[in-house]
Amino acid sequence: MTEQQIRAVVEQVLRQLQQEGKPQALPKQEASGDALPDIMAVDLRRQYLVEHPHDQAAFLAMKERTPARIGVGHAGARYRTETMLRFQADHAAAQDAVFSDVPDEFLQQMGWTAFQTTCENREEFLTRPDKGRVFSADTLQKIKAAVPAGTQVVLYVADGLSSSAVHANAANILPVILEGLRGAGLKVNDPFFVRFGRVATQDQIGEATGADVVCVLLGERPGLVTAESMSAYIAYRPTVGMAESRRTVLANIHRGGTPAVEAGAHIVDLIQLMLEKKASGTDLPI
Amino acid sequence: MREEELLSVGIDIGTSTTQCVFSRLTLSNTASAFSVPRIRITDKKILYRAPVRLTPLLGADTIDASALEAMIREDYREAGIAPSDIKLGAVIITGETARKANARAVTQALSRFAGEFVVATAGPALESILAGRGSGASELSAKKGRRVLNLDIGGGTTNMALFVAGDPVCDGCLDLGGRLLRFESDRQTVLSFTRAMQRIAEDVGMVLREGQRLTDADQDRLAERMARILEEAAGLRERSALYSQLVVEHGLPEDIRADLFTFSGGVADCVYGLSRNSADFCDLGERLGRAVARSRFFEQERVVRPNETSHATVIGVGAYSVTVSGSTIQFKNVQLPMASLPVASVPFQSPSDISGLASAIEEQYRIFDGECAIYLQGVQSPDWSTVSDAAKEIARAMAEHEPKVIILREDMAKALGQALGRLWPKDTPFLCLDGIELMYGDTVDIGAPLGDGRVVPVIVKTFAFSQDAGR
Repeated sequence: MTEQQIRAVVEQVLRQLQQEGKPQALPKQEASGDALPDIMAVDLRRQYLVEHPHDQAAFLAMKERTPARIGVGHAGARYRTETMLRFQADHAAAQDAVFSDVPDEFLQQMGWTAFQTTCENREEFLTRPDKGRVFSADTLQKIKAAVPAGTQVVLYVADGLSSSAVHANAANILPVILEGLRGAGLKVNDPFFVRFGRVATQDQIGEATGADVVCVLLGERPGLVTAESMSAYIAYRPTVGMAESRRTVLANIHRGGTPAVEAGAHIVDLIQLMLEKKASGTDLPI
Repeated sequence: MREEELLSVGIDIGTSTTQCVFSRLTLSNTASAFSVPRIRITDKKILYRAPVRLTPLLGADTIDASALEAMIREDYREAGIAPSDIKLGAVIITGETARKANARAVTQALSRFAGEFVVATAGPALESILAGRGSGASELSAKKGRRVLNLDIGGGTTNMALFVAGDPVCDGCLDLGGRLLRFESDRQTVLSFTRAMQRIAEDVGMVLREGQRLTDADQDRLAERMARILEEAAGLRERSALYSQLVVEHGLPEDIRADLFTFSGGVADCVYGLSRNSADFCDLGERLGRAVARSRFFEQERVVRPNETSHATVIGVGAYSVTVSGSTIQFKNVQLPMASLPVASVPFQSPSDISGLASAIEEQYRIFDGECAIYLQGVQSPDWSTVSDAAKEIARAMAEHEPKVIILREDMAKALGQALGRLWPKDTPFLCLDGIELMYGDTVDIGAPLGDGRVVPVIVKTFAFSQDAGR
């Protein structure tokens, strides 16, 4: 093939491509008022996107056991549009969970008084972990006043790194713990809320209130699997500067992990065990 | 919790043989350190297989109970295991033997002797499923992602179960086995035969009589017809009238579709060209096995030899009949073990089922004369209002009944149990379990707590004995 012939072929191909690439009239979309399907509503463990699968049922059985995004197929060398969009949506949800506040309406609805750590705003909370562990003397005084004398168990909620986790789980887990402990004859405060709060807030609160057990429920750092995962950190007579090993942790509380109500019921047992053994964390034999 | 080891026994009293197997089950927490515990059976190891022995009978319709018990005692001695070492297990009476007059009494007596929580079970469906679990067909289906049909061909019956992703999806039982026809020691003269065998013979134009001599060709004709029945059952051949006559309780669905076949039971060894490890049985079993080996099953390389053949059922009984409950359960002041509780299931799958829950439960108590476990599917990751509203209905319906046993499938028993405990007077005995899947009409035994009191073992059994044999 001569150079001229090659040029002719290339020119023809380019012409064809140009023609094909011309903008076509898009099909007119009727303004029906229907919303687009919500891709976040799809249960990824039941979604299988491979075309012409050899054995779809067997693959789906594997997917039941992992939250990993397997069996998503591909478009050329890349993800399919649906997979890409869902990935971005989950990432956005994780970001939102970290960067948004628990709305005031939700605090009111739950009947919580809110206390704030020494962080001024969310940016400071994310960049200064030390400030998210402590309260001003004034705030600490108010917390102490909000907890009746003789309270054995102090229970509160903190935003931590996921406001979505608080929103998703608090209303289901709190009544289980409260009714469980109060039903067992223990004195528990009416739960309050700590804004810009980290785990170790429980140390100052423990010292200020003199409670035997302090339990904080807070949002976990979100991932792509869920932005709604909550943890409970429970300590027997916590003190500022104590070893982290004195905290008992119950993580992974969300719809796809341990259901909030079951986690709550388990916490009831844990707290009673702590009161009986006068210990928590690795000191507590479970 | 640390790992906990439990000795388990399985005893299978079959039409031709009786077997006994001891296993060690390991219980451990599979959840990570920062999660709610999840206690599972993580390992099963066969410790000792007692020799296969002929089931001792007194005449045609009675089991020789004392000879049987002496045999089993001998197995314990040989294994070096005392009944008091056994934490759990099951005795199953299978095939034709389940229809003997004293079947129920014998298994119950044996289960009392065999160990602390050893449960008497029976029933064609249970037998089919346990055989498939014990053979390894269930595991094969999970590993290979294939639909595996296990055919357990015993002396009196063939028990079939189809497994998909490790779980049984359907089962069936046929009056078909190696010992439907027995010969004198010359292996030609007919000693005895069952009604089912006569039907099979009639279907190929023969009439059986005791004392009659059957040529090799005659015997093969019978065995081949039996193999064809199995093909019909497995969807490899159109079903005949004879097939439906041989169905016990129920067969496999007509549109059954399996990718792989596994054979277990005493006859399976002959299917795979292994010798039967016991003395000469003088029956049709060996020919039946060879006929199956020549049948359509083997035409497309879809037959797999499972891990266990002749011991499949007994291993299924010893190692797979026990399940452990979920690890967040609630119980108070109950006497365990609890034996032979019939299961009444009540629909509760969504919050909309809550209103009317009380009357549905009360109705089941009426049907079961007040003594049954209430099984509810439950709601996945339920809201607090669902739990507390359901608790009110359940507490009201169960207030006057004993024992109070609630079994759920979904993980919600601890929250529900705590709520129930507050609604009933203090110290009311009750048991609220989850993580167990049951069906209406199942019967369950619930054992004493294991794993630092976090779980209880549950053995599901079925109504097995016909009204007549039960007396």
